[in-house]
Amino acid sequence: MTEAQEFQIGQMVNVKNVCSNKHHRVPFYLKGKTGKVTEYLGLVDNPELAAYSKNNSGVYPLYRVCFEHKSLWGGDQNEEIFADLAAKWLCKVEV
Amino acid sequence: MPEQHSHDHPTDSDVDAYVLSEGQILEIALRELLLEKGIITQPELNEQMNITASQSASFGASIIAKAWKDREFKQALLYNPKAAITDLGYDVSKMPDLVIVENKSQLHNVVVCTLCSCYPRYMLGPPPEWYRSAAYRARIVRDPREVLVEFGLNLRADVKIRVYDSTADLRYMVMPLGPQGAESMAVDILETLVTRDSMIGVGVPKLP
Repeated sequence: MTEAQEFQIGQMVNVKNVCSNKHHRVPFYLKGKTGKVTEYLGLVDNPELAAYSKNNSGVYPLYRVCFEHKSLWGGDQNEEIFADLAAKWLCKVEV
Repeated sequence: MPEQHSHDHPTDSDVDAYVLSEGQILEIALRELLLEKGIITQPELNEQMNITASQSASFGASIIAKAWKDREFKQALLYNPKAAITDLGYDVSKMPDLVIVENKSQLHNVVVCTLCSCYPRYMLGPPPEWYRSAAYRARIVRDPREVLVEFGLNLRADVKIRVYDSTADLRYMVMPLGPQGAESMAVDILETLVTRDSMIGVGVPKLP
């Protein structure tokens, strides 16, 4: 399974700021935002196909990503927001 | 024959005059089609409705109470919830993947599904209305501390809040902090302390 892993734990990633009219399971408030990969969650069905009962049996690497509250909304709150996002919606942060 | 229609009718609308929403009409149409085409049978539908109606937060509470009591079980449960619950003799094969996040003295977890209303029904029963409301879903990720205060939960300033947005295939629930000395208390007492809200993360368990 590890060969499907595109991102490493601890790596910073951007969520693609792209609109989709499909069932893509990426909340708008995270689009274009930067977070840190905290866990690789394995392969899941592509929700854009699964929503139409087209099972493509786990081809979609899924990651848990941690976003700092202040990076989403500004301010100085210390809280963290976690979301589970598919690799195709993430890209590496160029440093 | 309106001219012979001399008696009065009540003017207030009642439940029988209820107008179905578009979603309800769609549900009825889909259900009738599935039954007519034989894709599901009425007994199967009834059985699923019974299962759904019988699910409640008391199951989740019993699992959390056992974890408070038994350190080894707690580690197993946090590591792989479905496997640990299966080991207790329950059939969770139809349950979506579950993650249990543990509260610590300086870390408080809370669960939401901003995209719809994903919820660990198998563990907690049907979700409360507010969990599905746009207000909760929008505000808990924007201002979690303030929303928790509105639920009556005033966390110390040094307690960090983590919000888990169940955006994908995993369902989340919270393992609240157990009372002091939980390991020496009876599980059936501990169970009564674990509230549904404490497993969503908008509350804390009752005091023993």
